[in-house]
Amino acid sequence: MLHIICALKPEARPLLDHFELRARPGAARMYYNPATGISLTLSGIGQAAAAAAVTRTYTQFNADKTHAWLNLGIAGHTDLPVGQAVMINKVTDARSGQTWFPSRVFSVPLPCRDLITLEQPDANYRQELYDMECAGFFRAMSGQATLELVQPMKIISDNAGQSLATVTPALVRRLITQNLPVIKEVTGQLLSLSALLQQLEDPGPDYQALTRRHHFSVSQRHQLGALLRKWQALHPDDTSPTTRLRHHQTAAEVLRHLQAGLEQTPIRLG
Amino acid sequence: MIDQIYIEKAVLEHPRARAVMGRFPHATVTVCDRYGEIFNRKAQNFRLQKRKPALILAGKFANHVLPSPPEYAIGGAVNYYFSHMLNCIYDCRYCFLQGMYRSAHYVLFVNYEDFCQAIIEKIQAAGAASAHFFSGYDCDSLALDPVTDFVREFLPVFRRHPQALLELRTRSTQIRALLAQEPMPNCVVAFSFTPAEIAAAIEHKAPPVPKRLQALQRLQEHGWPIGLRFDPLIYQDGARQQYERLFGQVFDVVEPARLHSVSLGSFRLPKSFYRNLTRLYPDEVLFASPLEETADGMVAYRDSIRRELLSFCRDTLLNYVAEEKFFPCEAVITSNADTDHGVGVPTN
Repeated sequence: MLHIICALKPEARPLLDHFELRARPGAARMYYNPATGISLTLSGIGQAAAAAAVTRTYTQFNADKTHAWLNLGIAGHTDLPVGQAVMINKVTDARSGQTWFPSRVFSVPLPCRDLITLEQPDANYRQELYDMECAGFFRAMSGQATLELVQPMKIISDNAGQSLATVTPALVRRLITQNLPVIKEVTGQLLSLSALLQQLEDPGPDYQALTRRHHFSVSQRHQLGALLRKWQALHPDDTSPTTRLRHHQTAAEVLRHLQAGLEQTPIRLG
Repeated sequence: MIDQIYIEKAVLEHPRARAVMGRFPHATVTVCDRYGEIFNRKAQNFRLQKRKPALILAGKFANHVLPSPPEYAIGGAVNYYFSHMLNCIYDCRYCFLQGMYRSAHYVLFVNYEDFCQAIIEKIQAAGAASAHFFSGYDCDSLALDPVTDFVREFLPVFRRHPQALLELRTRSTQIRALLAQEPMPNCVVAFSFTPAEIAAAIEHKAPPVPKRLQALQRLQEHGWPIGLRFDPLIYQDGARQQYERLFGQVFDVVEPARLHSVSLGSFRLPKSFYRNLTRLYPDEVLFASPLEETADGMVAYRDSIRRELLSFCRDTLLNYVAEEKFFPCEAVITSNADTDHGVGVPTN
């Protein structure tokens, strides 16, 4: 799953349309497409709002460390052209000085810069991008998600030559829309990383089937998960050992059978 | 190769840091206070980071040289290891670094001068006793040498102190810097090997066995002492025949006169590292092997397999190698789990 956090509706509108996100019943300012596994939450302006949006989304989707997160929005910079999409290497909270270093494990053809999150809009443009949410997003994410699955992406909306006063909702919609191809690329990469982690965490359908059929204690469930993973590693073409385990009466018998089967399997690396 | 460099503020102006950055002109450079801000963070995923590791340039301010586990000794009276770098460009599935570190990024400590000073102090403290220094526990000694200039900077210390010995442990074919200088009798280039079938399956991104043998041959022709490291021994169906074939291939190339030492040890890991590895790679056949916990908190092959493979390899190797050049991991050869300790298998 991928959760996108945007501050304002003009930033979100092109994404809601493109990813066909629909309002999630009972969850204000939250949109979702179950077919693609993408959600979008509107946070409002500021760090506290961004952090609250993360928390709300986390709870709403019962998120775990396999879920990916993207903070997408506009930012200012001294000389990058308006409309330029940028990935972020370092986020600094101007108020506290606290820093975060996003960890990106995929390539995108975009410039990468540092970003400062300010309390208020500022016309003193600098070499770092500035926004008003990103530090709040990272503060709320800390420890909640796999670092490589948490990314900020910013679109330049104003610079020293084209001030914040020129930024209108229509302009923001246009800037986001014109960057949809690269946004799609980033979201695709994040979804693919999320899917890989989900696959690695998933003990598989046999685990569900067996735990439904027999009573496994907590410790036996751990053993079962570990044995089934080993089984899958050694027998990648065996789609369902459950069928052969059908006649066993107890959880202990199932575990013994799996263990014995593994013992007899030759180890062939690669 | 490197798209992202993190650099500690304190080493921004260090000449080596600047030289390394100069080799990656297109990399994005991000300044940090201490490398731990990036390297030691929680919730990182080593497997994902291995897809695109960053380079972290840092300074090391203490513990430059540490005592090495006694079972890895190759005849020295006192034994130390040092790591100018953390992590490796290869991706060997058995490597303990994956279980030990939270991050797959490469950390390069650029203050070689402090490492060299610490080495000299240890040599002087050892007096007449032979002091051995091992590089390659936390990284491959040579794999990034064209970037790090490790050989060019560290070997002069040992040239000036012939009573001490340096082991460079590697799987790499990056030997240009060694070929560019006079060989030293007190610097052993120790190549790690597993049989070609096993290397192809689990030593991802490492040079294939024939390439390593070519590098070994060129170095010994140039006059460098050679070490052979069969550690970790990896078990699979047909492992005996595969190791027998490997030893044959290796000793077809190695000249006995240039051979400094041979060592071997079984695959083993601290339990906590093993747990981390199986979380990262639940789909890996290696971790579905017949492994078990030992009494001292390690995970190793079931005792029967471990003894059998070690005995076979020891006996076969002793057909090629004089006993005085053979340095098995003693605890493993005697199969006495109680004496087997250490952090895990050296990286290279």
